[in-house]
Amino acid sequence: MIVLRNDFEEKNEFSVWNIESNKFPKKNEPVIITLDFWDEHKDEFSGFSNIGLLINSDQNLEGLEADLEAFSIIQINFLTFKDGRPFSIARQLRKKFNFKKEIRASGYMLPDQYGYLLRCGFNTIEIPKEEKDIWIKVLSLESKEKYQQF
Amino acid sequence: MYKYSQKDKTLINERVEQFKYQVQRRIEGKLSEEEFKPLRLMNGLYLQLHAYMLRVAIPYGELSALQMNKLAEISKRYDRGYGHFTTRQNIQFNWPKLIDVPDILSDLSSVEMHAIQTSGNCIRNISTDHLAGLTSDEIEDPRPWCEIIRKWSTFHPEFSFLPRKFKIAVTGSSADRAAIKFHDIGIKIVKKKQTTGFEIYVGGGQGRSPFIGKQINDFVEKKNLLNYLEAILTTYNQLGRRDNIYKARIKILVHELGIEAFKKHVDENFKIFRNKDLDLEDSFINQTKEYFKLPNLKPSKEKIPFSKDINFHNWLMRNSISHKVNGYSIILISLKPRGKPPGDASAEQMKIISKISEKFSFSEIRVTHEQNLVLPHVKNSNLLEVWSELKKYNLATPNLGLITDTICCPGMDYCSLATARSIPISQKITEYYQKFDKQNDIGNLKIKISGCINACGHHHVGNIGILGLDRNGKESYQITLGGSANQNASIGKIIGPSFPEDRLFNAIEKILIVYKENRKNSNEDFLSVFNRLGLEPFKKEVYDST
Repeated sequence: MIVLRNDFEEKNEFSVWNIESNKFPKKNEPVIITLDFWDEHKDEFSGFSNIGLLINSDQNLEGLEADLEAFSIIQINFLTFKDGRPFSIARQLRKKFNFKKEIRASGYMLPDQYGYLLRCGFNTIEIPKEEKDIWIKVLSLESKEKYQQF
Repeated sequence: MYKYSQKDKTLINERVEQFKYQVQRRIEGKLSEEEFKPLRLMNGLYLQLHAYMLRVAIPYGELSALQMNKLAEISKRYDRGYGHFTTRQNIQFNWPKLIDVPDILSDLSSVEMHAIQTSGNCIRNISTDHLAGLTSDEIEDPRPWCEIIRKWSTFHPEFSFLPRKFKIAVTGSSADRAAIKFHDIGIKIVKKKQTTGFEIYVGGGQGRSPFIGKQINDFVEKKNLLNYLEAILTTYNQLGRRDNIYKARIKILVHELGIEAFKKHVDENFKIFRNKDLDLEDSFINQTKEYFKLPNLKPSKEKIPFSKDINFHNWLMRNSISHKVNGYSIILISLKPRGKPPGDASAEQMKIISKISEKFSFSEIRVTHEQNLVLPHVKNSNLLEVWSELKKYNLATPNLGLITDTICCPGMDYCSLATARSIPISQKITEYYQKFDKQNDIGNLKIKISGCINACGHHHVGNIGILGLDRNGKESYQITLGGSANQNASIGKIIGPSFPEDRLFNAIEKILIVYKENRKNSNEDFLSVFNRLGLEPFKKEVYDST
């Protein structure tokens, strides 16, 4: 898998934490943890400076408002490209919670959703390496014109 | 009429290019059919029973003569020489080849047309009153508002993968001709203390579980319209059900949460998300209104020419409506002649309508949600000539609002979801009641026919609704009575067990006998009599004696 920011491949600083490992991340280790793991171990993360949160498209931000500061990145995972909730979640993060840091999309998405993702507030996407060219080509076909102001 | 800006043109042309690349990826196997489906749907391309179907958008039902002529050409070049006007004020081509579709889209874009917002789980083409701007009973012309909503909703990044399709209708008149209470969102322009604003309904719809829209707000200020719509849509996108396609429409969410709880979410989102960029400035509203000004109509005392022909008088009686400008009439072209599928028009007919509108109606044409067409501004002195021209092409059937003016879905003749045929039922009704005096004696009566419970033929809101079912491999038809899509919205009540086709017509005839025997005078229409009497007398006549 690779991470794209617009049409550039970016080094992926973060890895999704493997909870099966039975270990706990180190203090400055750049990891992304699941919402369930966060809910369970929230207090143990106090003082951590480089953690990210992973939520699935069928989860929501309810009750997380006060926690958002703790995250350097929020990754929203599409269970299927048909599930359009992440578009609203990302906009909510930006507009309602004023979240300024990175929002990443992952999971089962279509290249044709790239433009919409960026406009809703996502900064990066995680995709299979072999799809890179298609995503970049589809983005290049995106119109510079748009009806909405974002 | 609205003219496309440079931005509209650019967006449509680029859309064609994007779709070409999607088709290429599909052909190369880089997109599975499942992945290609939402993409082709966003370009109006369906897969039906026998072939692809392309649904072309006619935003709020308005067409120019040039566009109608192009539709005629397309139907000839790429299809079988006809098109089908739909209950969503759009047109469908039933036989295009996949490989031709990008070319059809290019041809359409040459006359500022496209197939955007005609399918998929996005905000669909906005629909409205087919008499918008033409009658004196409206507070304001709804078309500029449709246009404002069209732009905001087209390719909306947040709302293109909703739980299900989303339909919005706007009316500016208290006589609801746009069926707003049967839309996901219905918008009615209202006036409160000299200020114009909107009454908003939410959660109406037909399909397998019909609901009448509930009022969510009795007055949204003009400038807040888009922010308010956005609050409704974001609530729906986050909370709408995605576990079951039959429960995914907003009507189910509103029903399950209750309108009060749903409203609370919307109000909160409205407060939090209120975006200054979406506030509508008066200057922008007025600029949009400019595009919808009536053509240069000169009020006059022009009389309708004299004719001895009774058919002309029948046609005037049924198919013309007074225009708000004296000396002009609004003409309805019936697409329900004897023996034809409702809403179908041949290439030749489309061409002649284009010519007539150019000569007699300022090049304007409209499509009604009841699958007829409108010539919006015809000078009274030209009516006889317009009638004779239309008559030559089987376009002057004097049956607007009568029993043979049926709405009907494609049914099993085209659609893979259908459980029964609906077009032949409609054809038999037009055959049986073809005599003008016979149908005129019955008076205003809306028959609506669906070939399955998805209700594309709007049977729930037919004064007489007919639903085609499959009963152990045999087509069977269920009758509902008393439905209405107008300002007094109601869902029809099932009269009883369904009928095989051969007994259906007998049942309809009996229903009409009860009506005729009970009406106070010839002005009391079927729906009024039904509302006065209730279901019982009809049921008794139909079942006790069959």
